[in-house]
Amino acid sequence: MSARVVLEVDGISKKFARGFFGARRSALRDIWREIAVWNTSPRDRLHAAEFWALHEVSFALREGDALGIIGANGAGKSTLLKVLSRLLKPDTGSVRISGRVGTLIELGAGFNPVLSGRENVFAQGALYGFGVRQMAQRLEAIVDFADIGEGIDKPVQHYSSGMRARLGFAVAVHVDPQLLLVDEVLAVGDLAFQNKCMRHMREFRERGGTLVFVGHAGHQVQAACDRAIVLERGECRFDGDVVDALDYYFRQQQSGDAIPVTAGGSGAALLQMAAGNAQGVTMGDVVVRGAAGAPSSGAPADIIAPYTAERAHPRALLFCAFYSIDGQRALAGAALEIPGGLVAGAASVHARLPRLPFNEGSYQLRLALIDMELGYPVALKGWMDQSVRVTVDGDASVVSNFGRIIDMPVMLPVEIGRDDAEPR
Amino acid sequence: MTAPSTRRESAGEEVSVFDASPALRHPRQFLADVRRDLRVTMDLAPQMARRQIVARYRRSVLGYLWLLLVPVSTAAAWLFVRASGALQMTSSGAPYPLYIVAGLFLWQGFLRALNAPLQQVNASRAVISKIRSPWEAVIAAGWVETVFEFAIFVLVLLLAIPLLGEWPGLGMLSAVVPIVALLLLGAALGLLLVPLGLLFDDIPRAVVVGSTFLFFVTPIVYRPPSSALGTVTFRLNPVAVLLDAARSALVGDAPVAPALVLPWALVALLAFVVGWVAMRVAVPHLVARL
Repeated sequence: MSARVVLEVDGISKKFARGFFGARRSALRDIWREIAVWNTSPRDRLHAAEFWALHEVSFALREGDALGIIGANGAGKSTLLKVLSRLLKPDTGSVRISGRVGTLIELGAGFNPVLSGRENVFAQGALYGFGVRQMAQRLEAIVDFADIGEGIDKPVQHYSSGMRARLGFAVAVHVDPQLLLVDEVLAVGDLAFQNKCMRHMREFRERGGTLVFVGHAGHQVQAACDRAIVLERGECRFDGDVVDALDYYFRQQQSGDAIPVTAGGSGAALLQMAAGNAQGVTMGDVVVRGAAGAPSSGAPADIIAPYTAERAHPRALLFCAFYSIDGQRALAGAALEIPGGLVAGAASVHARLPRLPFNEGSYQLRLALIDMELGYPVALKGWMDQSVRVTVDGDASVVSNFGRIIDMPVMLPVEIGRDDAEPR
Repeated sequence: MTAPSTRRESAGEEVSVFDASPALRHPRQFLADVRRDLRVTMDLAPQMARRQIVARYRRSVLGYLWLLLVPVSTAAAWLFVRASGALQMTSSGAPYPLYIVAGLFLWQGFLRALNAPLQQVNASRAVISKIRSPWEAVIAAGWVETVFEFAIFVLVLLLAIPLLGEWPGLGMLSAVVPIVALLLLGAALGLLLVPLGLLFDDIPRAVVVGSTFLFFVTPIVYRPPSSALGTVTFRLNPVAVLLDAARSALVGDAPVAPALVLPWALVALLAFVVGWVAMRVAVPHLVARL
């Protein structure tokens, strides 16, 4: 690439202190260090109650680049953005920026509710360091972009949150930044506005602008950026293609969760039925596997449920339910009559899913053996005890990321055809 | 957006580099940044102040009239006291009601200049923790407002002088230096309080207690004491020295310690510069805790 480097971040770290008193102490220490210029000892040591909100993060962006910053709450995304926008001073490392920086950390943060939208445009401009004349030149474009019509002359306190966001975005992008820092501000505002902002950011990049985009909403990051870094507890854990970064992030998120032992509300009725109905049936360790070991998305999968029964239950049903990994939501399931029912002694039930409909990720599986003559479960697995964890493999793809972004774990096996042809 | 430690490269492209090292370690850069932000401040502070005043009175029926009502009511109260003869103090110098009104007005100016920085920063907390904006301009806007309101006080005072006492003539122009020094002193103290005031909630409370104390130990509503102890404390109290000099010029009295006006004015200037620098270097560390 021959484009000019616009932003160069070299090993920046920022420490914060936990707790109110710790934060104050470290603030005093930091301010003292500003005054004690003779003190040249490095700041890479943590004091008591301090932690790295950002640690040794480095990257460089060229003209037209767009970098997404992904991470869970508290991973350091906003801190990074605040360091880049010079609100915070890094504790180590350096940042080099060529050109003006536009920051969108909170849309319309500084609006004065009593003043009209028009007056607030000038007031916001002043905060960005723009004088009256400079803002007057931009006023028309801003009002045009915000598209709030007559509202521009009404007091901002009568604005809806969407109008407020539109005006805030409009002002921030019209102060001619070369580098635009956006912190998940697009969550407010309607879909039309969000699309407009995304379009604007695309055009901004096409004109050579550089974008840093923080987002919880994965689809926006995927749409706005081609590269992303994943932050985890202040450290950069992944830096690369945005699709792979999101894939990495989702994978990390799921593996990090412990499986809750207690069943969600939807299991309560079943549990009540089973309570006090000990029928001498217990289930062993249930295995879910695919052709080559771990089950994978869209491929056949087998559920093998061993059990021991004191007596035979000639008419029995295997009930299986896949839950989200947090155990809160039943996603899909099946109930199948077991040929021959349950036999006395040790045996196992073998069920086969010809095409596992789950997207890549982890799920909980809960099972029940139901005696059809009694009409209630005789053995439970995963409802009151540890459930079966099922980790489904899959290839990272835009489609599977979309599934995860909208939190849609099940893909229906659909066949598609053209209008002029019958679906096979 | 303003950017300290910003330099221009040959191509005319703005390049800013920032790292962990203290800003004061690069004095030349620091001064260049101060100059740059000062220019921005001069441009922005008046329009910010105007907008603040507009916003403050927009929802009131009497509007800007309120700006006038505070000093007018004070002056009117003392006109009443004078007319009713309730307060008969026999001493040399200007009539006591005029003496008090002038003292109160000057004290108000000082107090507002002192409170403005912390008030301004607190009022714009939400913004300055999210948009990198010149704090100087935000704070200076408070002072512009202070000066504007103080000018109204002085105007009311000038109108009240013939009613409460005698017109002192052109000699009142010598009030300008002590007045400027008094406001500068308040501004300097206010600036010095910003970093600590944002970290310790004790500071705003201490300011309330401290200013009440200062109000009573400073000869504002009474004549400067003539005892040995009183004379020493008077001279060591810059507010007393500057306020007395300003008031004496306005009401046609003889100032108690005119020789101390310039030294204390210089101290105020110095404190102002120190406060300014302290605020600048502290800001990025304060933002993290806002």
